[in-house]
Amino acid sequence: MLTSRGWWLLVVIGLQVFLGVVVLPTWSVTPAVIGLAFLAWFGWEWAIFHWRLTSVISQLRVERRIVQNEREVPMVWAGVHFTVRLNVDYEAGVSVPFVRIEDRIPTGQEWIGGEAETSTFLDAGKHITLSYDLRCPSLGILRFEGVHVHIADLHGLFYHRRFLREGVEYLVLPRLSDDEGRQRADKRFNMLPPPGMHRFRRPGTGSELLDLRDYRAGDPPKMIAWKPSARRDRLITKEFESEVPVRCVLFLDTSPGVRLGAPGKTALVQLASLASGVAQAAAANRDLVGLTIFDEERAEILMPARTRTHLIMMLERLALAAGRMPDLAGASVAEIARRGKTLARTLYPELMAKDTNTMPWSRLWLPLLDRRWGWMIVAVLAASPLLIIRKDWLRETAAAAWSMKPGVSSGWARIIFFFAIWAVFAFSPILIALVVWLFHGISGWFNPKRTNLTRRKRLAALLALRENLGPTGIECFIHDDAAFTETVGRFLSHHRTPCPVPLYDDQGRYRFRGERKIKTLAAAILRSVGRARDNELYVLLADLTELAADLAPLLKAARVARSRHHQVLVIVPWPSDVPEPEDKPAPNPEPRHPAVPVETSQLTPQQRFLMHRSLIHAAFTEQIQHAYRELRRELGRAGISVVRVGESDAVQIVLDRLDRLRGMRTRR
Amino acid sequence: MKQETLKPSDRELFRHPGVQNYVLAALVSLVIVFGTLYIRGSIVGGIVVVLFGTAGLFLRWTAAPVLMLLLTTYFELFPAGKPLLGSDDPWGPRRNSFRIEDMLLTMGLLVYVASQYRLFGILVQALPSENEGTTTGDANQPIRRPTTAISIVEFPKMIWLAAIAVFAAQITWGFLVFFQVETEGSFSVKYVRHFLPETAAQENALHSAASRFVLLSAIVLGISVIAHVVLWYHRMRVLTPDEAKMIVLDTAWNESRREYARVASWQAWANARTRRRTDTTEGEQR
Repeated sequence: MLTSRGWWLLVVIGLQVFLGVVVLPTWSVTPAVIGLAFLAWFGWEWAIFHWRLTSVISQLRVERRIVQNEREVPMVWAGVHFTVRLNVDYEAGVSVPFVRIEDRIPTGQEWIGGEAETSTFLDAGKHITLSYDLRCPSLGILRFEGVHVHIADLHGLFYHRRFLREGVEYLVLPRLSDDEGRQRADKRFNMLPPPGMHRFRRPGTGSELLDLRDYRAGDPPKMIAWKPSARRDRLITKEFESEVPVRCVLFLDTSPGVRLGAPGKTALVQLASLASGVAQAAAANRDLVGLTIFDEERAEILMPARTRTHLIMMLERLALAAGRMPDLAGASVAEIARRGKTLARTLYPELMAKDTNTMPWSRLWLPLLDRRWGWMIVAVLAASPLLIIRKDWLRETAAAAWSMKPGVSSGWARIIFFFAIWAVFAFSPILIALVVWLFHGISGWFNPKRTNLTRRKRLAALLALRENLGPTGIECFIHDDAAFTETVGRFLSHHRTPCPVPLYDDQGRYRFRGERKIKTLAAAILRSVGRARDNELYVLLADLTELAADLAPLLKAARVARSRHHQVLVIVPWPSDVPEPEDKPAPNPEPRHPAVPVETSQLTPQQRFLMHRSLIHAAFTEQIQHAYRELRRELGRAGISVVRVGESDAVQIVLDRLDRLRGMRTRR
Repeated sequence: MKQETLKPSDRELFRHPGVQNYVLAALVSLVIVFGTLYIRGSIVGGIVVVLFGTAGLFLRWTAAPVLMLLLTTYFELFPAGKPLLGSDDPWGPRRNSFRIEDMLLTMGLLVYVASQYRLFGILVQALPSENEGTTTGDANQPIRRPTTAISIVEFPKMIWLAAIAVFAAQITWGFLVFFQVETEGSFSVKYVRHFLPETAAQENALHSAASRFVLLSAIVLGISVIAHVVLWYHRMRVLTPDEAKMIVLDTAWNESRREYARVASWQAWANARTRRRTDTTEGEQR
């Protein structure tokens, strides 16, 4: 609670008081009076600050509202700015002269303007309002954790930081696009299609006239067009269009592999944004759109429909899916613990404080039996009595003690000294073992790992509290790295805090291939085919680039779909820094980096780093492009087209496919 | 984060009446300190202290208040400036208590230090720098107290508090000098009717300096304990549910952590062994 300024002043005051009261009064009493006055003043400031602090914390209330388009909203739209209004009310009667209130802004948001912090004093009934504008660039989940409260006295001697937790999440829905949602100004046919009906250039039983043809025996009389028949002097029959609803089912991959990357810029966000564009465009044409969200374990299905409510539900599901955090399994314990500790101290400062979350000195004592050689010490302790009770040992040690004559004249002193020395010599094995035990134990107090252990214990206590595990959970998290890493990962994910994860295991294998998702996807496709009507389009938004060798179940399901006259289209995410596979590099490409000497020993560390990085990037590019070509070849054999995100316009490609299903020529 | 509003310049800050009060109070305090040192015969000390205090005030030296305290004490002890203690006065502690110039000097020094610290909060920095817990883009900028947060009553409160502190210090000093710890029988505190010189041996009583030390320690300890109990009780009454749960959890852990640690270490060993065997099996299957 004391700042460095406060500590310095306290030390000087202490020195002044001691010298003034004890040492200097015979020369001058003024230092004593000065020191005592400062001590009294300091003590009063300390007490009153402590009182105010404990009063403030329990009496601050926070209320948050999000306003978009001048309405309070429960969710926001990506790309559209919104206003955050924070109301802080103080209800206690104790006034606080200086407090700073600061809202914790979620990471990854674009700041537009306003005030997210204020410094003021607090009186009873004080009302503080903060208002600022943000914009979310991509869909997902927006989480506000709460408000930082910094309390200090007027002199800067005392300071306390607290966090008012008020965790609330808002969905960030995908941007409403007008891509293909805009209505055409010109009519292609004689009349606009009624809702849900499209033109399919085949004769059927619709209401829109398709063609006039010569009468054939068997045509119903009501289909005869009498006026053209009179004009042409032969019977003419009317043909009407067939009305076939077109369905599109989107399959969105949410496996751990697509969740990697910076928040808001993952492959999952790309795919979800694309899916939302397709869904909105199809819904604008009153096509039925369904959604299946799958990962390696399960699939969630939303049956095709075309109402506005269904569209909003789809967008919500897409936002929830895009907001899923990466799986942190496999992250290094040190890194995840560091991030967890930082987050815990920021969001739970009172639960990580020393007086609430203690670490007694005795816990840092190193148990002897945790070491294998410690058992030898125990053996020595156990065996020592057998030595001590031997007569020759007692005789020898007595002789040695007797030979050490103290320089005292008193007989009693000599006797006591003799017995004391004899006891030390006789029990020396035990004493040595105890000294080793003592030194080993207290070495834990000076061990460099002491700080890490203390931090880990405090974080473990917080996790045990959150998970309701009780006191056993604390030691479990201290000793079990796997359980600790998993729980801290959940803690970080809950608070939407990213953490780097290793992409490759210790044998160099890519950890996020996700081959199990192929079976889940195939099962979901077969389920959809089982419930399908005619002419459905299945759009698979999935990262299959590395899975060309494991596609058998998917190919089987796709063939079943195609046999029922459905179409399958695959859209894969593509890293932004990897060139497209069709591009052929120029014969003599310009080097990206300055020319470096051929001899690597002549390179500076910076140049060596850049060279290694470019080599790794080139190898990675080649691998990705090769894998993509393999994937395209494998899927092409089953009649499945593969498109990359960012390649031309994937939404337009999907809509082209839908039009083709209707029998229309492409509108682009 | 804030909009890019212009931070008030120093000139604008010094125009605020709240800031002017503190500046004026600090300057008047320096005059009082100079005056008392002058009366004590330390003209050099007075000039040095005033110059240093003024420079610290306007150049915003953060160490100025502490150094002012030390400088004033120095020139009080060594009026000529040379660190040579003159002859001591064994009767001094009692004879020189309750002097008006002492109280004035203390009051001036206390007001100067308090004003200087408050000015630091407005002009330089009010909150300590922290690497964690801030989400503002300008985290490197020191956070200052805005002039709008200066309330009307804080300046008079500061003066009153300084006066009360000086008065309390004088009363305490009087108690330390006029009462003594006697060792006859059990330890007791008695009023010293017949005062002996500081250096004289005391019969059935502690030496004067030791007696003052013991009495002061008892006073400080007693007040600290009472304050600690009162504030602890107040804190317990306003604990949040999370804090209360954490205290209970921590206490329960502390009671039986040795047993929990033993069980957890064995369990972790068993889990690690199971994981190693599972990884080996999966590796062989691949």
